[in-house]
Amino acid sequence: MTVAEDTGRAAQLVAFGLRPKLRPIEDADYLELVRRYRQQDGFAGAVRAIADGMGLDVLDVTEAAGAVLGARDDSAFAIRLEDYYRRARETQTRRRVLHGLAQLAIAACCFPRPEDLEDPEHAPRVAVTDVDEYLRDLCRRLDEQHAEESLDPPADQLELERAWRMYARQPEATATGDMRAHEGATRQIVTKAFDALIERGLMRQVSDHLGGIYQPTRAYCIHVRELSREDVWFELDRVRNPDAPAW
Amino acid sequence: MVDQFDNTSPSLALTEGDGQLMLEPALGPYAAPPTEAAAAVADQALARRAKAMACTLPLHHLAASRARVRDGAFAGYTVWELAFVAIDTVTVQMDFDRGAAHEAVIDAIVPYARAQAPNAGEDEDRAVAKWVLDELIGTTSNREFSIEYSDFDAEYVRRSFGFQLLVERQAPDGSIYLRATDAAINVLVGALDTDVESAQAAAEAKLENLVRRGRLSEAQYAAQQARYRTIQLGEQLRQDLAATRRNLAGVDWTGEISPRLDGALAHIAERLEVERRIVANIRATRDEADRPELRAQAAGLLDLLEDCQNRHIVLQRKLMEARQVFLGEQQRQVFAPPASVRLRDIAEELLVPVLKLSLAAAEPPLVDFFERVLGPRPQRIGRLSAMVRALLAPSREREQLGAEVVEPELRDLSCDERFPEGVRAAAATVLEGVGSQPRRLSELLREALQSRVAPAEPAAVAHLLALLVLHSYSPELASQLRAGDETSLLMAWTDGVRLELASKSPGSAAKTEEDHLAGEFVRFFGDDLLIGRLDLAAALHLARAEDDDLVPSLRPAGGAR
Repeated sequence: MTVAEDTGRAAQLVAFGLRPKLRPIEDADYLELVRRYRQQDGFAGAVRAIADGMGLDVLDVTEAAGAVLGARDDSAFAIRLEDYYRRARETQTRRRVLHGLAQLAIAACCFPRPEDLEDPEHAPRVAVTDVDEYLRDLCRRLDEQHAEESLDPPADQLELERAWRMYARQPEATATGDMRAHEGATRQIVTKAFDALIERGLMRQVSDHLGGIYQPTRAYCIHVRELSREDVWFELDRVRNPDAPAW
Repeated sequence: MVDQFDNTSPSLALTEGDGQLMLEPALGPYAAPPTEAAAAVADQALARRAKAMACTLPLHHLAASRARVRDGAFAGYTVWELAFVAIDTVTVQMDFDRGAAHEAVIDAIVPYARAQAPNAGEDEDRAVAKWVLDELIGTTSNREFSIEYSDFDAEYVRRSFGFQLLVERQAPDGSIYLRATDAAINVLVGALDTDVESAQAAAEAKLENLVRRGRLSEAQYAAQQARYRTIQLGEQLRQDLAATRRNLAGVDWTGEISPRLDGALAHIAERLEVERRIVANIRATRDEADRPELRAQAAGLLDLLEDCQNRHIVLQRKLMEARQVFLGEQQRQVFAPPASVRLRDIAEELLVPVLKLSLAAAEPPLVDFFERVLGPRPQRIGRLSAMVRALLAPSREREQLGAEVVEPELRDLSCDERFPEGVRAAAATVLEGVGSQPRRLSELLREALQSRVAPAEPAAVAHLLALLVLHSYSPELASQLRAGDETSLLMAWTDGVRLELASKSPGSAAKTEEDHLAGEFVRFFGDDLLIGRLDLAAALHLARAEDDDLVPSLRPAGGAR
């Protein structure tokens, strides 16, 4: 094979990775490329180089999950929260925090312990109600821990409200008006978060019970593992920095 | 500072500030030396009382605005009483998972509304009930109430306090129900910011006292308070167990939950004892009481106490099971191999810290997580030539009537039977010949193989017959009797005789036929079963006539007679 041919094949694997709903088991060509990536260091290097040029990181390539890619901030492939929720614009801090919390809590419910991320047989089933109740339970615990403090925000700076207190007061569901699900209701927000994951091939729905029961795919596990790795820096690290100004 | 107030006898006290000795009581009005701690205590109390007060505001708002809605149609109602009924109803129906449905709450309010305004009519009563309920849930988009209050701690800040009274929750089946918040329960029972257990102990002691003095209506009130406290304890346990199931590492079982369980168990045992005593007292009071209204009141209180006891027993059972939940989860969660690379604990190291941040500070990391966890988003890239082609393509012609309707090919949905009708009829005929006198399978098979019922094939008839006889081997008599079926049935059993072709008196003409039969018979092997028809009705009749214990196996277990 010529260099051009090899490069073409390597680029093809990246292209497969950009179709997250496609799995190697469904496409013989894809499966062959995945195997080649895992067996030939030279080929793997070429794939990573091509991805890198496009602003992508190859997080992992497995037969079950395929090529799992992560976009860097400057990449043309980077996702913006606004792409998913038109109404969660930059100015709507409260809504953006709610959508972010839903995603983070789903990850925490799917992988309650770090070991779960490394267990190939860990395939939990998580319901919308589990996620919402989990967050509400955390809120209750934080309330208990901070019972002695004055936590209400200044009346003219409501964005200084603590995140958990805001979540705890969001309605869980509403039945008033025309019985449509309320946009700000937390169950609805968690459902939307699962929908976004399904659209990206990271979750599949296994049942309609309890507001919907979902199961993560291997690709989701790889993404979350990447985000929870100690040596990967990202914005969340600021959270753990004790010098960061609280408010 | 408080101690100095209480000190009435002259004593020496050392003030903290200057180390000067001071003789009390001081001359002139006493002024407490201003200390920071003292100010903080006072201010916290201010804020706490302001918030407690705030929880009653929605009720005041209801009363104030009732004249303005629906052109004053609700002016005749005392709406905040109706609000109390609503909160009571929801709180009482809250148990381990559920609360009250909207309609149930409205139904509970209506009788009170009717009593307040007898001339208003049923529709009006329901309207006011619904209005009160909606207002208690809240009508803003976030379904919450908020007030501003002053915080004098360090420097003066006006803060915003958001709260709810009734919240809507979704049940597993998708229906929506209501739960009362802690704030609402506190407003209702009037015990603001108190410790759960001690408040209950106090309520119960008060009740006993009241019962002794014969003041039953107040006793009823105290019993109701005790019940609300039990509901709160149950809620706390439910949340602890849910957390344990999620992640054992996230809960402090030995330090926090286990002692709480112990405390709650001891508490409940004590409550049950106390309530038993009270019930005994009230029974005596009821029997001794002369006035009929006092007797009725005591009876109502007994009902209430019974409900309390039931709740305590339910909670006690859940508490006993709690440890099993822990052990089960420990086996599931703890004995798993540890992670090889250092990975963050998503809940403890990411989610909880982020929840503690202010909204402004939490937004960037949360948005970052959101945008990364979803992976890359492929862009659709347009191409002018493709677009031009798409735009220039002639629009697809649509026929008025649509495509031609293809005549569907219909097929009979008959069962795909292994044995055709004729064979089944032939086999049934053979079996019909079996009476109460048992016959051997080999005889029946011979009969089947010699049957000449066209178009049924003798081999197939014999095969089906063998299967039917096997099916009636050791029939489930008990379940048939339980279902009340007393029709006679075939019963097959074995006496260990091997299945062989029974020889018949060999006639010369039948010689070839015997050979043929022997050839067919090779296909069957095993025991030569005995088969007979059991007349169940007659057997039962006999059994009933006999002593009951003699034939227990024939007797229906569930009394289907």
